[in-house]
Amino acid sequence: LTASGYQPFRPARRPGGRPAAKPRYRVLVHRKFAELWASLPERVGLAAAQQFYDHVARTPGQPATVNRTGVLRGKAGEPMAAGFSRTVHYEISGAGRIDYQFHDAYRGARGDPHPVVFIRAINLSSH
Amino acid sequence: MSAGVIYTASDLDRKRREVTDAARHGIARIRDTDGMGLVLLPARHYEVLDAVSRWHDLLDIAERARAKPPEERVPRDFGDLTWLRHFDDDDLATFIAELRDAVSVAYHDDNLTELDKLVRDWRATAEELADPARREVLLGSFAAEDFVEAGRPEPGR
Repeated sequence: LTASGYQPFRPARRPGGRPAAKPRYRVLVHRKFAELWASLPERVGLAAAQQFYDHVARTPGQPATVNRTGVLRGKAGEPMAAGFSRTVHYEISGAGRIDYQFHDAYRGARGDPHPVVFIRAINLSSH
Repeated sequence: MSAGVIYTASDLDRKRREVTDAARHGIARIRDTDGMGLVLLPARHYEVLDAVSRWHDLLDIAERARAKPPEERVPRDFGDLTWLRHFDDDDLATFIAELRDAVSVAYHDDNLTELDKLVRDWRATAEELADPARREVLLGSFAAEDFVEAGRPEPGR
């Protein structure tokens, strides 16, 4: 350690509020809903949007602590491929819904197994 | 109190505690002054019986709608469950089978919790499939390249 404590190769702290714990899951969204994802804070409020993100980034397979979750039934709820969860239906607001699946050891282009959440659909039709 | 006891209408005054205790333990049978038979049940049990009979009826309607060729079906074929029109034949068959099982469990367990949750999930699924873009993704095959990075929502982002 230098006398001043200055460490030139250490990244600066992220500005603003930070999540309580490091995200475990990588979060992806279907490109058809990427625009809706970007508009989420203004549509449902920043707090609700961050609550959703923190939920899926850490515990996508558990019931949400704040909002209601369920699973889609029939073919829409089936895992997209081996190792995927069923489609979880998350009620982000009074009329906002997000559907996602997760995989605890997904091998994508990276090759190494890593946990990923795939947001398949966003429904903000009543906002 | 035996299950065979039939109380009179005046017993509701004279033996009120005995009548209500009998009801709390299952059923109290009462014969009114004109001979009409009445029963007193726990409200929760009545709600289960009401839901079970209603769902038997609704599922029969859904069965009849499914028996029609898809191109001839109209929303009113599904009665109160017009949202079922968003499902194809396979999903309709799954819905009917799952609901029949859940209705049976609700009746025997005297509890509507799981049935209500199942109906809520199916209805939510129908609402998601009602939109063509969501339907295409939710029923389509998986392609990793269709997904892009989603960062944590931040102010002004």
